[in-house]
Amino acid sequence: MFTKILIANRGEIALRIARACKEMGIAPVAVYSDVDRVALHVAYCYEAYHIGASESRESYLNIDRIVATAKKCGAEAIHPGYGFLAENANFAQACEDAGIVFIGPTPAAIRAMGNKLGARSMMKKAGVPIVPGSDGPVSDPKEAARIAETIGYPVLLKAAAGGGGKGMRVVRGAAEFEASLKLTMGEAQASFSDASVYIEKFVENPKHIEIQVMADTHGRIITYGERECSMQRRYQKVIEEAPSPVVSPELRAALSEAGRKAAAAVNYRGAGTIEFIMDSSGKFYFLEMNTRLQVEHPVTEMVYGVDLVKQQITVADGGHLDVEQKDVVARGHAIEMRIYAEDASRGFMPSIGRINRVVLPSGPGIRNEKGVYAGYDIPIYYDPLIGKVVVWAETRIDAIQRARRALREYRCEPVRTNVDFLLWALAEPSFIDGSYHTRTIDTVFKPTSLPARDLELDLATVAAAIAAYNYRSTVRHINIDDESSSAWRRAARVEGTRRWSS
Amino acid sequence: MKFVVRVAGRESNVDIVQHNGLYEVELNGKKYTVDARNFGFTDLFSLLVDGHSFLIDSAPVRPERGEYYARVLGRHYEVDVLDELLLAARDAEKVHEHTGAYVLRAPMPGLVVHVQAEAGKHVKAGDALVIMEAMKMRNELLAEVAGVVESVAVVVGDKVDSQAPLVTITRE
Repeated sequence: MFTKILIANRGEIALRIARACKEMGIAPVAVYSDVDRVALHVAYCYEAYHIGASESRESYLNIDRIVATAKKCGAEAIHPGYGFLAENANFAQACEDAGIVFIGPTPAAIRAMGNKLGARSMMKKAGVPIVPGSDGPVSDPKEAARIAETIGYPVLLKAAAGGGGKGMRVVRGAAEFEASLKLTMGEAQASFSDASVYIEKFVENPKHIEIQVMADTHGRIITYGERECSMQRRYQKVIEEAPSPVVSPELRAALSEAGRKAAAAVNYRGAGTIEFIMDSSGKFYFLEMNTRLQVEHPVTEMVYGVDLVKQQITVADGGHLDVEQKDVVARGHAIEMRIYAEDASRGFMPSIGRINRVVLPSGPGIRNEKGVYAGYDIPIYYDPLIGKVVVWAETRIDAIQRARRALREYRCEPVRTNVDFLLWALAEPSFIDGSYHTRTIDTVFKPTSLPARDLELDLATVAAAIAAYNYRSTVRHINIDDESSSAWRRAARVEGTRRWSS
Repeated sequence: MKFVVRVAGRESNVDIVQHNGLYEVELNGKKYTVDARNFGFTDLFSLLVDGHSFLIDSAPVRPERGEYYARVLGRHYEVDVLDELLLAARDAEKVHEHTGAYVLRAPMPGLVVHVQAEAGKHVKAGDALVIMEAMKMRNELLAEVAGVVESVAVVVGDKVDSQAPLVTITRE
């Protein structure tokens, strides 16, 4: 087994990985940027090395520096966490070339899944359901119309050379197809100098369901059920749960089988997640595979009683997954809430500055993943995720109640956090009844969705007035221009002045 | 001490005196006895009001301007606690706000990644002036008033502190 693992990450996930290392008797090594000298992961690991300036590309994205640091300190393996270099095939390759184990899949598997088009055809071949659509770019209007008819409306037109939502258009029926196609192709030509488009089935208001897989290098692939991550704001997950409230045992078996096929198709090793979109009838389609640990992995850990990070390390070391699929049984319900330093009432503006006090929720069924501490300045360079609160309870409704209780205990003062927004989300009727989908938050939430109750305003008024009263009571006697200051105090001041001037 | 307290668009009159360790608070004419104790920190209060118990964070933010915050039941509020002097200062500011130049300030420290504002150009309220990046997110800063851009203090690539002036607009 490894004796030392370098963690090429920061924040809560660096702590999460370091904790697994310590429990396995492995020394965790931190790397840090300029501003992160005082970040929590540095103090938490056994060793820590500076790798560059605060900007990510100078430090946490600096492949050469990270690999050299691992070599120098004698780490046998590197855990990339999530984000930064976690899905960078060149990084995985650089580790391999340097004789260091990359805790994740092979560079080839990362590349295969990183190429969205290639992954799509590969999944189709492997028998994983994909969103029906054209197999390649289309530029002939007649052929396009025929494909749209075969797929069935509504369809989505996507500029072949576009990306990130640019050059996309939904077509709801044959009548508007020709005009829409002309517009999309015209825009595609103007923006990307390539008029060709992809056509695919438009899945309306889909749910986001993902399957956790873990594979060792001896051919064993274990699936750990699904997570539902449909509570998203602008495609950013904010609340995740396991299991999904709408996935039946039969559907779970089908999803898991698809996940297993996807992983097998790329000879996967380590932890991976196959993301699907699912329509309201339970039809699901492959979206992409994340070839790394997910932010929301704790909900799976809590319902399956498993430590995915330890398993990652074990299989990276060539070990066997010591578990049979039939023994993988979920119990209860888990919900994760991502705590971001942002102000929901002001368009989710990031909130930065010094944290004076952190009070994390505790009590039955609560797990905190944190990356900050009291006295810490939230830096501007990285993701505003300051922690995660994960709850477990026997039933989903108990888990929701526990989540609400936990959030009310959460304090990270005085920076603004999204706790009020999360409380709103947990009370959203479609979340409670399980019918929510990936567009729910963006269509339902408004800044005015957080109305102030009279009681809260009364309490805020009284508390702030008391704070002001106390503040003034303490500053009054150091105010030297205060006319009410007594004669002896004035005399003392004169005395002091004289002493200094003599 | 008499204050005018403003929170979330609501204004109240508060009169507060300390008496035997308790606070006698008159809120909009209604009297309460509030037992407020610090819980380990000067900005964390346990409040007991008629036997009802609340744990509330509250502290000065910019006390010289009367700015405080309070966090109640998971919600964060910005609270203005104003005495006569601060109230007069606020009113004067308000008059100035409606006549003088409007200055767009950075709401947080960050990097200027795009500058749409151009000196001499006319802008409407709601027009994007500057895009700032902080914590991997881009934030579009919009004009709150209509007018003519008098000056632009930043260029793309500038790192600015919170409250740094970015764009000055002469109101119309």
